[in-house]
Amino acid sequence: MKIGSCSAIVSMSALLLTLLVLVRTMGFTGGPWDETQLLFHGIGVAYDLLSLLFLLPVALLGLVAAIHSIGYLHGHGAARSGLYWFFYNLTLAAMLMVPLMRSAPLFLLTWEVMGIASFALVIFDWDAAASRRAGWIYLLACHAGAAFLIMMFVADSSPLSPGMLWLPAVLGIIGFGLKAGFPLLHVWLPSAHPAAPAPVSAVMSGAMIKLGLYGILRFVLFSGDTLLLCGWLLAILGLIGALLGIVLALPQRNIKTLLAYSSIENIGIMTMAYGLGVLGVAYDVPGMAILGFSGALLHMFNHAALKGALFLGAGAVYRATGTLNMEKLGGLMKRMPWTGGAFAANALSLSGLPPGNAFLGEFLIYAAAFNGVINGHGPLRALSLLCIITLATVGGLAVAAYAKVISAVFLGEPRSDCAAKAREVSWTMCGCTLALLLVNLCLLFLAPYILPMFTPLLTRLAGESAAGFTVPDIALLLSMPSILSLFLIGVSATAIRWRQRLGARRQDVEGVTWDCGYAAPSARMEYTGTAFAQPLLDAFASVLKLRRQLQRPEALFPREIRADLNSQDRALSSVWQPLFGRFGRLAIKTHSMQSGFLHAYILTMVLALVVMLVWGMFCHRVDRPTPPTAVTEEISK
Amino acid sequence: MMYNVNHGFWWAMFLASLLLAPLLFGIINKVKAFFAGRRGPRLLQLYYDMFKLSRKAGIFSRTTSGVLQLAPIMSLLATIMAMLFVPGGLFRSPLAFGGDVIFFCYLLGLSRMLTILAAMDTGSSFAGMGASREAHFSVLAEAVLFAIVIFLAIVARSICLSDLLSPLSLVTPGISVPAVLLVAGAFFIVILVENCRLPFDDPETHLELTMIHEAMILDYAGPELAMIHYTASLKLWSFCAVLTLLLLPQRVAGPLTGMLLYLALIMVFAVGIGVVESIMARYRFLKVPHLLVGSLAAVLTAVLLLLFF
Repeated sequence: MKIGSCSAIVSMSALLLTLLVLVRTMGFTGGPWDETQLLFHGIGVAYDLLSLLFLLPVALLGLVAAIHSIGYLHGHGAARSGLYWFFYNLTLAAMLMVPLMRSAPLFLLTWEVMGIASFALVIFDWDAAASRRAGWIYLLACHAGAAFLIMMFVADSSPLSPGMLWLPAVLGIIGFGLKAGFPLLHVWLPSAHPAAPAPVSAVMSGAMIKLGLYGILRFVLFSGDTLLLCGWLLAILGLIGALLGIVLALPQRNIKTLLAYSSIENIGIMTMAYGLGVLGVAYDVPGMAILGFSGALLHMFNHAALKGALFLGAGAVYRATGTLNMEKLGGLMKRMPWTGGAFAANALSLSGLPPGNAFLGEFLIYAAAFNGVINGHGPLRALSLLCIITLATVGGLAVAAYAKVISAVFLGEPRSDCAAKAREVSWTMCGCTLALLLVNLCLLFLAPYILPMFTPLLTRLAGESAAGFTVPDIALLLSMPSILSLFLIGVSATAIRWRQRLGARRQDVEGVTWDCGYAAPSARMEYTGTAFAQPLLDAFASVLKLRRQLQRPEALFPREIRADLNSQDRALSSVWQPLFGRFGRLAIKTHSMQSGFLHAYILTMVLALVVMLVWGMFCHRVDRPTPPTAVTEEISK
Repeated sequence: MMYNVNHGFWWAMFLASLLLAPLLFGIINKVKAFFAGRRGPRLLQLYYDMFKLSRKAGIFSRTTSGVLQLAPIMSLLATIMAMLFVPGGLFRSPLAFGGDVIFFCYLLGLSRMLTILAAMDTGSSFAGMGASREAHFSVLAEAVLFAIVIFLAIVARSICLSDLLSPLSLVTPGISVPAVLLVAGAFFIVILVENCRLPFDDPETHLELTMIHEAMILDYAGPELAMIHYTASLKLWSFCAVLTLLLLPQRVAGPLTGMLLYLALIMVFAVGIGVVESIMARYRFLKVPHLLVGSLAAVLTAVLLLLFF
C-alpha cells in the first residue's frame, strides 16, 4: 500500500515532467524537432517531440494503473505485493527510458529490461498453468524481437550492397512488430493480457505495444532508402492486422482476451495510417501523408486512454465477480453503475462511433485514405480504396464486438451467482476508470488543440511538400466533429434529464421483459455473447477455425442439450507450433555433436575459425565508401 | 458549384423534412394496400400513432438498466444531427465540412449501436436475435455504403456530402451511365437493408423469430416507441433524399421547381419501396449477405468503370 502510493507519486511526477517538457519544447520556440535535447552528453540520451509523444501515454497510464493496483492487489500477501511493485516500477522505469535512448546498446538494454520486467508481471499469478504458458510465449516473443533488433542495428551500421538495403528495414519491422503485435507476430498478446493483472494489461496494451511503433518511427523509417518498401509493408500489415484482430476478437469469451485482440486491431489501424503517411511521402501526395500521420498519432493517444480504461474496468469486474468469462456475467450495470457506465462509454467510444474520441483519429485516417483515392494513381489508389473498405468493415465488426462485451457483461440478467452478488468496487479502482473517461472527454474536446502542438513532428514526418496542407487545416477539419460530438453529448444529457422528469410526472411503470407469456423469465433465456456473435463468426469460419459441438435433444424428454462454439487462433496452431516443433526436432539431431570429448570440441572450433577466416579473406569484400545519407535528404526526396 | 447558398431555404427544407418524414411510411403502406386490394391505413396514420404514443406513460422492464431509456433519445438526436449534413434539395447544407460524409455514416452507426445495446438490455432472447442479425448485416451494409462514397468522392474530388451529391456531378459527360446505374442500384439495396425493409426484414411480420428491427424494439412502449418510429422515418427520409440528390436531373428551372421536384422524387422512391415490398418475399437470412456482397462487387465494378472508361 505504502510502496504503491510511492510509485503512484513517482509516475505522477513523471507525467507532470513530460507534460512540462512538452509544453516548454514546442510552446514558445515553435519547437524545432531536429534539435534534440541532450540529457547526458556522449552516451546518447536525448529527447525530442517524438520521444515526448510516446512518453505521454506511458506516464499517464503508469500513474492511473498504479493507483488502480492499490485496490487490485488488496488481499494479496505482502510478499507478492512486494514482488509486484518491484517489477511494476522496473517496467515503468524502463518504459520511460526507452524513448530517450538513442544509441543502440542503451536502447537494447532498456528494451530488454522492459520485456523481462513485464514478463515477471505477466506470470504474477504463477500458480495457474495458463499464466506460466502465457509468460513463456511472451518471453519467447520478447527475446525473438530483441534478436531481430540486434540484427537490425548490426545490419544498419555495417556496409551493405545496394541490393540489400531492405534488410535492416525488414528486420526492424519484424523486431518491433513482435512488440506491437503485427499480424502473425501477435500471438503473445491474447495470452499475456488475460494472464497479467489488469493494471499491468492496461499499461502493456495502452502504452507498451505502442513503443513498437515508436521503434519503427525512430529507427526504421529514417534510415535507408526504403521509404516505398516500408510504406507498403506497413500499410498491408496494418490492413491485415486490423481485420484479423477484430475478427479474432469476436468469438472470445474472456473479456481481456477480447480486449487484447482489439488492441491488435487498433495497432493495425495505426500501422495502416503510418503506412498511408509514408506512402503519401513516397508518392508525393502531401495531403495523404500529413493526414495519415496525424490520424495515427491521434488514434494512438485515444487508444491509449480508452484501452487503458477498458482493461482497468475489466479488472474491476474481475475483483467484483471473480471471473472474466462473459458467459457467466451479465446485469452488472445495475450492480456496478460507475464501473459499468464508464466501461460502456469507453467501449462505445473505442468502437469508433462519433461522440467518442476514437472517432476523431479514425476520421483523419479515413480522410487520408480518401485523399489517396482522389489524388493518387495506380497502386496507391487501389490501396487507399482497400483501406477505406477495410476501415468500414472493421468499424462494423468493432461495433459488433463491443456491443457483445457491453451487453454480455453489463446488460440483461446475471448469468451466474457471482455476477448476481457483485457489488461496486472500491473508490480507488472505480475512480481510475472514471478519471480515464474524463481524459477521453478532454481528448475529444482538445484534439484540435493538441494536434498543432505536434506540428514540427508532423511536418518532419510528412515532408516539406506537405506545406500546402498544413496541420492547422487538419485541426480545423477536426474541430467540426469535435464540437458536434460534444453538442450531441450535451443535448442528449439534457433530453434524458427532461425525459426522466416527464416519467416522474406521468408515473412510468415497471414490467417484465416480453417473453411470449412465460411467467418466469430466467437468465438462461437470454442471448449469450457467443450467440450474439455467431452469425458473424460463421461468415469468418475459415479464418477462425471454428469448432462446433452440438449435443442434440434425444428421446421424448431430453435431459441435456448443449451447443458449444470454439475458435482457435490459427497463427499459433498452424504457423508457430509446427515451426517450433520442426526446429526442436532439428535441434535434437545436433545432439550427436555433443560427444563429451574435449578435443573434439576444440577441433570443431578450430575448423569453424578456419572456415570463417577463408570466407573473410576471399568472399567478403568491403566496397561501399559512401556513408549513410542524411535523414533530411531522405524525406525531402 | 451548382448549389444555391441560401441558408434560409435550407433550414426551411430541413424543417419540411422533419415534418414530412413520417409521411413516407404512410405512402409505402398505401402502395402495399393498393397491391393487396385493400384500403389500408390512412396516409397520416403514423402521425396519429406517434401523437397517441407520446402522451402515454413509459413502461420499462425490471431487467433493464438506463440504456433502454437512453438509446431512443440519443439515436433520435444522432439521426437528426446526421440530417444536418444532407443538402436540402438544391441548397447546400450550412454545416457542411470536409469529411462530413464519414460523420454522417458514423452517426447512423451510433444510432444502430444504441438500438442493439438497448435490445440486449432487455435480456429477451427475441431482442438478442434481432440485435445479432442487425450487427451482422450492418457490417456488410457499411462496406457497401463506403464503397459508394468512394465512387462519389472520385467523381466529385471531395468528401463533403454536399459536394458529393452536387447535382452536377453524376450527369457530367465522361461518366459512364452503367456505372451510375450500378451505384444507384446498390444504394437502393443499402436503403432497404439499413431501413429494415423487405426483402431483408419484414416490418409487418407478427412472428418474433423472423424479425430484425421489430424484434429489437419489442419492449418499447409509450413515448420511447414514438421516438423510435420517428427515428426510423427520419432515417428513411435522409437515405431517400441522398438517392434523390444522386439522380436529380441537372437542369432545373428555378429553386421552387427544384424543391418541388426534390420532394416529389423522395415520395416516388417511397412508392418504389412500396412496390418492391408488394412484389417480393423476404429472403432467407442466410442469403442476405450474398446480396450485399454482390452489391459491393457492383459498386467496385462501377469504380473500375469510372477509372478506366
